[in-house]
Amino acid sequence: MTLLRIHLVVNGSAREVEVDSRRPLVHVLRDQLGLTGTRFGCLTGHCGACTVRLEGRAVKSCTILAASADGQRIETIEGVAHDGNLHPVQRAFWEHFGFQCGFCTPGMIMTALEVLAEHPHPDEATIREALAGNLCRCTGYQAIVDAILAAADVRVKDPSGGTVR
Amino acid sequence: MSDVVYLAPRSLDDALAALRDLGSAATILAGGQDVVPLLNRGQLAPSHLLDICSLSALAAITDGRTLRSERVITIGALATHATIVRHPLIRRWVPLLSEAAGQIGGGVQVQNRGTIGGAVSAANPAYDLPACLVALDAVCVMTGAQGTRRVPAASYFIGPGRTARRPEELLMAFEVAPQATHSGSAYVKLRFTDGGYNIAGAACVLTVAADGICAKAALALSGVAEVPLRLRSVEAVLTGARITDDTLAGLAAAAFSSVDAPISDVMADGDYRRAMAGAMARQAVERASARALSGGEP
Repeated sequence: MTLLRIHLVVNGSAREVEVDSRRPLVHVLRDQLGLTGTRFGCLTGHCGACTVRLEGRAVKSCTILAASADGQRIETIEGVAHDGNLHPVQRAFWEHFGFQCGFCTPGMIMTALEVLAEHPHPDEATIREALAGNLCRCTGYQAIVDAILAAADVRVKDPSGGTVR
Repeated sequence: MSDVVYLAPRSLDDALAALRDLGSAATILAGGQDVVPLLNRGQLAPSHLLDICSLSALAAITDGRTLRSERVITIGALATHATIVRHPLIRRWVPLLSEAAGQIGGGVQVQNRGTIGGAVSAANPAYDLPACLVALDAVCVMTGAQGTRRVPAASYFIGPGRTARRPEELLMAFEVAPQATHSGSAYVKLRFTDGGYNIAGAACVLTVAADGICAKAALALSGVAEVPLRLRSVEAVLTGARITDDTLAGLAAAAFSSVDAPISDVMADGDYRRAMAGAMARQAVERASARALSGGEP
């Protein structure tokens, strides 16, 4: 096994970790950095449960080798809430029952953050298309879409309290 | 899990030197959207991985001239699908690629990370961009120890997973002529969900004169044959014709019969793909024609 020493900035903290050169990022986040909020589902890039933000863009962390992320910034679901307060998108998922079993939720939220950053006032079709790479096997899509629409709405009404980064 | 040597060259020269030494023992890794799932599943077990993501010069999109002074848009192999969707030069001059890149399956995550060079190198019959590059008469630029070589996209795809690139060469960029005036393009595909696999797709570029007569046509199919299928016979029928309902009905039938050996997989069998190819070709021509008449904007 070839070990590589890499440096990541995860949720604002510099982390140094030795990784197997073939290991996808999701395994390093979960098993070596203890950030188990990011799920691994399929390891084939289909389900989107492992979605994180790499240099600010939503990516599937099972389709990126940890080695390829050397020197880059990563945001996981653990970095979304601040000072114990849920992010407006998290709060909207809570309030609109945007999850059932919860397995897909972290990935859904990480993708939702990108949708809202790109489209401050998304319509339903925009949200549904943007979620094309995130599967919910409970089929709870309607409530997830409702939650993201509501999060956009909260942000419009209360920009100071609802900044979507 | 077999061992693999991971290399991340910092310069093009280093990357080319590594490829010259390793040849086909190295798998080139760019955005990883095709390669990493294959590694995860054990379907690919190279001795070396050559991660070229640091070669940022290969991500550039530029507007320039060829040696023969023809204007050309050059798209670096590392340009991501998300960049191609948004880039002003592509949106204005090669709108077919922006439209197709925005329809790439797997969600925004795949578009953010996947690259045009990766999608082309995979030579997956279901992928969208190869047929577009063939319809655009794009040129694939490769560099190796022997220098730089340019191959038309139509000759680049040899079979599923097989391309004209030699093991010691790096796919650098694609060169495309900017869309001419009075032209329009469209990429239309059938898929069962927004993020799903391509069942059949059609890429079309048309030039339509003010009198409504089609002066030039290019049409290529994705998802139905082992390589992108250029429909020269259909193009010949369109050229010099007025695009009417009758023309469109005829071309759907002609596109259908141009597909000799449709591919089959768990998503759709060959007969269905062939039938849908005709419908997609018709829609692509109809949209490209309308766009040509309205000034070319998608």
